[in-house]
Order: sequence, then structure tokens, then C-alpha cells
Amino acid sequence: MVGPETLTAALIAAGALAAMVRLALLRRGWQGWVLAGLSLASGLSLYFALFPPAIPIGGETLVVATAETPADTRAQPGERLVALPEAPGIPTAERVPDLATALRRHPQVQRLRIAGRGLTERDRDAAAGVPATFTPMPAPRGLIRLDPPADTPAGAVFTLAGEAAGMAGGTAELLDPARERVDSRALGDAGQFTLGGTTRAPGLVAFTLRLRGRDKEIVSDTPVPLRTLEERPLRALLIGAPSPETKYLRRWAEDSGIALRSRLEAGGGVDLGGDGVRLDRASLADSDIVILDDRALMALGGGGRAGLAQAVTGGLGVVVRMTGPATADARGAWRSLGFAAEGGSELAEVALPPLAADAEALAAKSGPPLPDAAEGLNTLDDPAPELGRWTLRTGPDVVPVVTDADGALLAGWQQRGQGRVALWTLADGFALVLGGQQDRYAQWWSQTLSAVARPDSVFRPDVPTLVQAGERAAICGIAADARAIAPGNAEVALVIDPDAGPRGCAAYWPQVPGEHKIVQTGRGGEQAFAFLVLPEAALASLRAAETGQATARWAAQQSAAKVSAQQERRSAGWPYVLLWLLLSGVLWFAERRLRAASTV
Amino acid sequence: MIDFADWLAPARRHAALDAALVWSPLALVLAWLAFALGGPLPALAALVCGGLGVAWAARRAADRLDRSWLVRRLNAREQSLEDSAALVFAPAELAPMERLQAERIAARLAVIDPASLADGWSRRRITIAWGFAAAALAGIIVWQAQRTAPPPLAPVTTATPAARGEPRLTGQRVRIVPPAYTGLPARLSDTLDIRAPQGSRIEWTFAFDPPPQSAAVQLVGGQAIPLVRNPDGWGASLRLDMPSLYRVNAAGMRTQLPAYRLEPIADEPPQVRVIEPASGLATMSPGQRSWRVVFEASDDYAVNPFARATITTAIGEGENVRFAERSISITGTALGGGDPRRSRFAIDLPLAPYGLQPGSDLVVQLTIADTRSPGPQVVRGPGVILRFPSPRLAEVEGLDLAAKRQLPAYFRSQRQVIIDTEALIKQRRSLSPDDFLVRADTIGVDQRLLRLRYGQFMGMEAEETPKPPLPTADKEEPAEPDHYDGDGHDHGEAPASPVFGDLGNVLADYGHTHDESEAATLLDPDSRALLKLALDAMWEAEVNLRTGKPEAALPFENKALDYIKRIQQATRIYLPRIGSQQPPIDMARRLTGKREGIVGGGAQLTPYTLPDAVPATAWRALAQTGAIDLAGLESWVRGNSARIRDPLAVLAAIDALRAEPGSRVLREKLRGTLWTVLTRPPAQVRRRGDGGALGRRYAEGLR
Repeated sequence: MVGPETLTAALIAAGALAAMVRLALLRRGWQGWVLAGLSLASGLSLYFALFPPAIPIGGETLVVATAETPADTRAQPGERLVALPEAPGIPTAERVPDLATALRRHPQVQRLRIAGRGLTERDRDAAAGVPATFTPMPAPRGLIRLDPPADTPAGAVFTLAGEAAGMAGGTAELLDPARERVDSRALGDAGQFTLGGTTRAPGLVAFTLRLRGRDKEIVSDTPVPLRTLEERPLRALLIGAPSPETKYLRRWAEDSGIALRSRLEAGGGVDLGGDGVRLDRASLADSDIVILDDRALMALGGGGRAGLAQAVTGGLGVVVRMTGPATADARGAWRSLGFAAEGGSELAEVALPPLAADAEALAAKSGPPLPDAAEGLNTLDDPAPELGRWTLRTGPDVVPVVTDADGALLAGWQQRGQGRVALWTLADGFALVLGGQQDRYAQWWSQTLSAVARPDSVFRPDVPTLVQAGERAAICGIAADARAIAPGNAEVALVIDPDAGPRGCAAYWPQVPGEHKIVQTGRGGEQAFAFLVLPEAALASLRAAETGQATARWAAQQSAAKVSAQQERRSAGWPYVLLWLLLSGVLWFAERRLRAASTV
Repeated sequence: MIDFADWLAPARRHAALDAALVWSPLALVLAWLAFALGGPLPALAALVCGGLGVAWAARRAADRLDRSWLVRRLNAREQSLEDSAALVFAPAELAPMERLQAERIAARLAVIDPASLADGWSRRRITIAWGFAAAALAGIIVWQAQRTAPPPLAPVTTATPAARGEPRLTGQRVRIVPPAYTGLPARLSDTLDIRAPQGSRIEWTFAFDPPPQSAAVQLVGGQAIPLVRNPDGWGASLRLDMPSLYRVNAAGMRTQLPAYRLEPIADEPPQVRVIEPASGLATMSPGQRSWRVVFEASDDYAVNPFARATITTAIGEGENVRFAERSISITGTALGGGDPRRSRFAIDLPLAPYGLQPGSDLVVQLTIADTRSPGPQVVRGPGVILRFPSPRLAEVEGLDLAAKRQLPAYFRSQRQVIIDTEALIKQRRSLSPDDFLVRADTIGVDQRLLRLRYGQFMGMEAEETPKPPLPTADKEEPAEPDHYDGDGHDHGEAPASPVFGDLGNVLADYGHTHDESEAATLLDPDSRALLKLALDAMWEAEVNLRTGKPEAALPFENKALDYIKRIQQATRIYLPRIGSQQPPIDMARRLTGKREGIVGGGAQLTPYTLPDAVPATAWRALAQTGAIDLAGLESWVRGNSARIRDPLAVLAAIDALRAEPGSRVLREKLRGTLWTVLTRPPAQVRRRGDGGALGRRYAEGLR
């Protein structure tokens, strides 16, 4: 395919050549040759007038010194060095309060080169308008990523994940608030790790993530906030045959503060539960979750299942407990509730992960023993109970909530309207209690019910997971009258930014570390939400790594903007038009003179 | 002929003494050095070695003086001997001329005193040797004195602000003397936090500037030990038995010093492990003569090398089992290069003296003690059993399966009752009358149970009538109209408490039988008569036992045993098959189809209460700014210290906060420490958020 430029060039060249030949044939002499050359130049200038060449644009490069920039950084010829507030002292650099100021002061700047760790959030806010280059420094030694645990119910297991750089051969340890080791992992070359612990009473606490190097020296201690929420008691219905599973399930529900009503059908209409539970519209609307076994589900009949499905759409959670191999009818019943799965007729063994890394960590995890507990009970060496699960084939709509060590599904849920339906595929889960692992039994049921139970509109503003003193934090999901209370009862009104969208976001700059509280008046009186603010330098290496990554992204965006701008700013064509006019005029005039001379 | 030895003897003695005087200081110094470094035993060894060395040196010095020396010395000393002394002492026969000269010289020799021949004392060498020895001894003594002296007080690291004139703790030294039995040396602690074996003596020495009027070591929540002023500083000592916190107080001190820990390390009881045989039950091989058992014992300080092995034999089968127990003492060998903490006890047991028969067992147990004093901890280790395999019983089938050749296990216990009674009679002197009566009564109860069990075979009415284990109806049972107290026959005692699993008397309960006809047919008339006699004897024995007369009971017990043996030999006993036994049927409801009231109140669960209400409340309160009930928390921690991993840390945090109630840092510290105290509740449920209006719309949009 021949482009327009090539075509035009060929046409102009042909014209110019024709003119040259004509002129050369006209008169043999130097004037003819001069005119031929002029016509060639005219053709060339015509081409450039149509397609002006991309002339490299000159101008300065602004070198921006950020944190950890080497002190011996100097501006090269054609560069200008500025230092942002977080940069170390560089004698030749000009101090600027931020990047925007630097760009305003030096409008001639055509390029940015960022040296050091990278730009802070303050400077990454807006586009610079000029291309930028940034070579990230190698990640600092220590913690470079931390995913703190989410809000956890009391007594449950929590996990956190992170990544450390330059720590191969070291260990990551999780220390509880009393500085006892709860969990530890050896760090590999990749440096990623996950750690876990257990929560106690509701409240805010700070665990500590300790990184140790190869020779066991402490590299860093990072606080990890953990929030345990106090919840309204869950209203649950338990329907099924009397069995060990229902026995221990009721025990757990009673112990964990669930308002459980049960119907234990012993056959022939005999109900051992004694709560007179009926699955009608009113009682379903009054419950947060219904746990029933597969036989009870089949016994409901089509109408009963339809009513249940209706309630699920309205937000109810349903857990169907498998007690035997699934039949086609059973799968149909699940589907009518909104849970699509195949299989479920074969039993497979459950791979149980070990309770803890070592005996000490197990003791720290399980807390002090009960006063009447026998010594040497439930140790790490105790054999794990053998459990079975019904193997299920599920689609992508089913979300696993409890899995075994191999990742096989033990319980999973599927959304239907506002509610969720879960299937519990573990056969004889009560063996966990009998085998001394009642904590794990409680944890699995807690996870399943937490995932499925009726949603609740409690006050949970959107706070960044790691808030550091002296750093801006965006708090979303708050009302107009929300205010933040710092430790020491200093109160700050949170002003919602109307530009931030409908979620109701406000910025907050916590000044002191400790427990901060967001308070607002909502439905049912004053609502409060507490979060932990970490000390200023707690996340230094983490923030450094994040800054580097974010700056690299930002710089890439600036470069992309530059390419499009360059195409539009192709150098101006008018000088070439003028040149062509001049040359053509001279040519015309000279040719006239020449022709006149020849004819005369 | 003159014996030259007589001539040499004085000179030799002199020379030997001289050498001994020169060398003995060295031996003495070496012996003293050995004493300083190693104690009396090496010192004695060094002294003996040094003595031998000195003796050897003296002997060498004496041996240098021989005949030729004597001749040379005499010739050199006495001109009158005309260089012919050699002739006098010549060993061989002399020529006549020589003999003549020799006689002449001998006459001259007679006037010379042999003692005068000896060398003079080597005074200089002796003086130098003793001088050096004295210097070396002095050096060693000084060095020893310096070594044993306590080091100077260490400066106190924690700087406490103090006003002028207020006493300030400037120096500290803690010496820990563990109990002698641990074999651990006394040591100096680097810090004031002390962790030492239980029973150690803690010796504190403190320095104050300026010196206070008085000072004391105050145990937190306990006594105060006054510090006594001595030239070295202020001293006090304590025997470490209980974990506690302490702080140093001086009169005039305005700020409180931080509390330090006193933590005893408890002495663990020794542990016994069976090394050989590999399993707890070994089977005797045919023709085996001896049996080797090896135990390994370990302790945290030292295992007492003298242990006792208890060998119990149970010979015989069925009721006819004779028990014998004897114990032998064995000495262990320390393992791991003389480490007293682990030793091994090997027993090679000759089997012949025990007279084992097929079906009998031999049990070996090791009783081991550690060296704790006072009160060594004695542990009885696991038993290992050697079993003489009994011949296989002939296979039975069909109806014979129901007939048991051997009596069930509880039939053995008449023998046990006799053994217990005999033991009680033996111990009569050492027991108080009340104890004796209680023990006799206990045996009487055993005898009674046994009588009731045998009585079942007689169809005897059981004295306890247990209730059925499960309620069959909620309603009160209607009063039986047919029977009432005093209706002419016995109904037995009122049911005391339901006994789970004892369902043998259901029929008796509901059918009001006075006799168990099914059981009564189990025995033929002869056996029944014998059993009746046995039961009568048991009854007599029981009466005597329960009134505290075991001597009177013993003949009846023996008689009962004799009868039982005869029954055993006389006949087979048919026992009812044991299988699943259903709860009794409520005849009133049977076949009526009524199900009302069949469930009694539902399965109610008792609510669960966490045992940590006190610390949990404190933990929550510490997050706020209000006051804390520190006293209640402290008493709770003291009461539950067995459950808590590190109660001292919690107590220290409480104490620190009490001294400075407003400090946020200390509140946080106590709150963190309390974390280990909180019990983990069963995992609770977290409600998911609904995502607000947006989330609800999104969920509705899902299809």
C-alpha cells in the first residue's frame, strides 16, 4: 500500500524532473542548470510544506530528587535539578515544596526524570503534562507488602499475607499482643508468606509481624491491626434428624451465642428439639439462617422449597447439610433453592492441615486451657480424625468457603437474590469434636454461617486497611455528620468531598497513633467504628516499595500522554510554504527572463 | 676386709636428705596448686606424686655415691692413706703385697669418722628452692583469695530520677546458690530478674547513694525482707520457693523502683522409659531361662543410681491365681560420659525361681527417685509384662458358645477380698481406729457387691433397684395400687440413684418379681446348694468386716472362696448372652399409637460461661480511659496462675500500672499481657454487610 506521502513525493519528483529536463533542453548553459536545480529545490520545499518534518523539540529535562536520592546527584548539561521535601540534602538542588510548583517555575521543561524512591501521593495526584522517566530502585530489605486480616468474629482464625524483599532464608513470625509467638514461616526466595492466629474477645488489638534474617536477628517489627467485632446474635433455625452432628452443632451454636431454635425430627412427627419450629413465611422472615439436612429438604416438598427459595431471594441464608450420597432428586432440590452442582454421590477423604507449626504455637493459638481441662489433652501429636466429604462438581457460581488442605470443597455457597444458599459436604464432621479438634469444627461452621447468613446493614465505613499517623486516609461510607475522635478525645469533623462520588468519602489526617473512632448518628442512635492508626515510621519499607511501584505506573502514564502530543505537534509547515513561494517566484521570474532573452 | 657400705651410709643419708630438701618445695607448691584448682583429691594425688618424685631424686643422689666415690673421697681427704684406699675396699682377692698395704691403711682408716666424708649442705640451692616455693605459695594464696571474693557491685542500669539527698540505687549484685543436690555451682545473675532452681538461696547486695536509714527487699503482695548493712553494701537473702515480684525500697526514696521477677524453676520428677523389651507385653518363648529388661531414667538434675525393681507374678488361672511380689535393688549406670541426669538400669531376671506356669504373668516395674532433698521425688515407671502363653482353648461352636468354661472376671475378686483383709490385719497397728474401721468397711462393701453378683445366679432379689435410665413418660407414674409399704412382703429399698447400664432388674422393677426365674435356672440343684453356702459365708464375712472385725471375717471369706472353687469345679455356669438391651417398654402406651408427651422438655443445653469474665472485662476497660479494678484482676490472676503461662508478667504489668495509673503506655502493656490470659471463645459468626443501597441493587441485578 502506498501512503499519501510517498505518492505525493513521487508526483512532485516527477514534476520537478520534468521541469528540469525541459529547462535543461531549453538552453545549454549554466543558467539552465541553475534553473533546473531551483525547480528541484522548489519541489522539495513543496513536499516539506505539505508534510513538515518532525524536528526534535529541544528544552530542559527536570531531574526530580525524591526520598533516598544519592547526595552526589548532579544535573547533566540540559538538565535542571530540583529536590522535593522528602529528598535528602543535595547541595546543588533547588528546593521545591512539590512537583507542581517545580513545573510552574520552570515552564521550559520538556521532560521529567525522577530519581530516588519515587513520588509521594501528593505529587502523583495530577498529570505532569510532560513525559517522565523513572527507574525504580531495588526494593528495600524488609516488608514490602502486607495484607492485614479482615474484620474477624471473636474466637475465629484469621490470616494475614505479606511479602518481604531480600529476606531469603529468614523467617516471618506473628507475635500476639503479649509478644508471644503465634505462628512462623520460613521465607523463600520469593519472600511471600501467610500467617494465622486466633482472636479472643471483641475489640481492637495490634499483633506484631516480626521479620528475622538468616542469622535470626530481628529485621523489623511491624504492627498489624486486628479488629474483632461484637455482633448481634444470629437467629438460626436447625432442622434435621437427631444425630451427633446436630448435637455438636447445637452445642457450638449455644456456646457461640447464636439464638438457635431447632427441630430434631425423630420420625413419626416426634420433635426432640422442643422449640416448635415451623418453616412458614413469618418464621423465615424472622430468621437469619436455616440449617437443614438433605432429608429435611426433601421432606419439605415442592411448595415448601419454593417458599424457602423465595425467602432466600429476600436475604435468608440456607445451609443444606449432606448426610448421604446425593441423588438426582436431591440435586434438583438444591437447584430449586439456587445451588447448582453435579456429583455428590462419592465419598472422598478430607486432607486436614496440621493444627499449628509446633506445640508452642498451638498453645498460643488455643489460649489458656479451661480450669477443668485434663493435662496432655489435644496435643499436636494426637492423630487427626479421619473425615469424609461428598465430592461435588460445581460451576464458577459456587464460591468455596471451607476447603481442606488440598483445596477440595467442603462447603460452598451460591448467591440467589439478596440471600445465599450453601452446601455442607462434610460427612461426619462431628468426628472433629470427638477427635479433639472442636476449635476447627467451630471455625468451619463459623466461616460457613458468616458467609451465608442474612446480610446486615451495620455501620462499617470504608477505612484503608493500614492507616499511618501523618498520612492522609480516605474514609468512605459515612454520613454528613460523621466525626473522628482521636486518642485523647480530640474531635475532628469529617467533611465529605462532593467530587468523590455518591459513596460519601472524606479525608482524614490522623496525627497520633492509637485507636481512632468514627462516630455518626444513624438509624438506631449513635454509631461508632474504631480503627487503629499505626505509628509514623511503622511501614517505612512497605511505603517505599509502594511508592516505587505507584511512581513507575504514574511515569508510564505520563510517557503515554507524550507520544500522542508529539504527533499533533509536528513542526509547523509555514516556513516551507514561504520558501516554496520564494523559490517558485524566483524560478518563475528567472524562467520568464530566460525565455524572454532567448526569444529576443 | 671393711664393708664399704658402712662407710657410705652416712654420706648417702646426707646426700638423700639434701636432695629431698632441694626438691620438696616444688612438690609442695604443686600440691597446693592442685588443691587450689581441683580440691582435696587432686591435691592428695599431687602430694603423693610429688613425694614419689622427691624420693626418686633422693635415691638418685644417694646412688651416685658408690665405691669408687668413696675411694676417691678418702684418697683426696687423707694424705695418710697414701692413695691406697682402693685396696681396702677392693672386691677381689688381693696379691700378698697389696694385702700388706691394705692392712696398714685399714689401721689408719679406723680413726677416720665415716660421717665426715659427706658433702656439705648445698645451702644456696636449698635457700633458693624454699624461697621460690614461699613466693609461689603466697602467689597462689593471693590468687585464690581474689578468686573467691565476690566481684564488685554492678552499676544499676535503670536510671531513676532522684532529687538531691534522696537515696538512689547505685550498685547491685545477685548471687544465686542453687540447692546442693542440683550439683549446680553458685552463680551471679546479670539482672535483677531472677530465674533459678526452686529452693535456691538468693543473696542480694545493693549500694545506695547517699546511704539510707533503712532499706528492704519488698515482695509485691507479700513480706518485706530488711536489708542489712555490712561492709560490702546492703545485703539480704531469701530462699526461692514461690514465684513473685519484688522491688527494692529504701527509706526516703520517693519514686518507686520497677518490680523484678523471682521465678523458681520447679524440679521435674524423673522419667522412666522402657528400652528393652520393645513392647510392654512380651511372650515367653519355650525354654526361656532368663529375661532381660532395660529401663532408662532421666531427670533434670540427677537420677539416684539406686533403684528398686518390683517383680509381681500372677501364677494360675481363673479364681486360682496366686500373686507374689518381691523387689530387688539395682544400680544404674550413668549414660553419656557419666552424666548423672540419665542412667540406664538393666535387669537380667532368672526365671526359674518364679515357677511360672502356662497362663501366668510376670510384671517388672522400676521405682526410681531423683536426688532432691528434702523429699526425693519417687516415680514408678511403666510395667513390662512377660506372659507365659496358655494353651489354646478347644474351639467351641453351636450351643456350647453360650457355656463359658471360665468364670467372668469379677468372680476373681473373692481372692482379692481375702488379700485385702489380710493386708488390713497386718497394718492394724499403724492405723488409727477410725481409719481401720473405714478400711474394713470398704472391704465389706466389696464383699457385699460380690455377694450380690453371685446372688444373681441364685435368683436373689437385688437390694438396689435401679431406675430405668431413660424416662419413658413425663407424667408422674401412677402410684401402684396393689403394693404399699407393709403389705406383707418386702419391696426392697427405695431406689437410690439410677445406674446406667444396669438393666438386669428391669423386669423385677416393672413386673414386681421377687425372684429372677431366668437366672435361677442357670445352676443345677447341687451347685445351687453350694452357692447358697458360699453366699451365707460371704454374708457373715461382710457383717464382720463392716463392724470392723476383719480377723473374724477372714475364716468366712476363706470358706466362701472354697465353696466357689468347688462350684467352679463341679459344673458349668450358663450366663445370659450379653447384647444390646433396649430401654423398657411402657406397657401403658404400647400399641395405642399415642405420641403425646413422649419427648420430655426437649434436649436442653446448659449455657456455656467463659471462665475469664474478670480479665475480659479488664481487657475491654483498658481500651477506654476509665478506672480499672486492679485488685480484682490481681486476685483473679493469683487464683488462676496455674492456667496462665506467665502469671508473673501479668502481675508485673498490674503492679506497674498501679504505680502510675494514668500512663497510656502501661495500660497498653497490661492490655497486651492480658491477651494470653483470655480464653479463646468458640468461633463466633460475623454477619456480612449488605453493601448499602448499591450492593442491594447489584445483588438484585444478579440473575
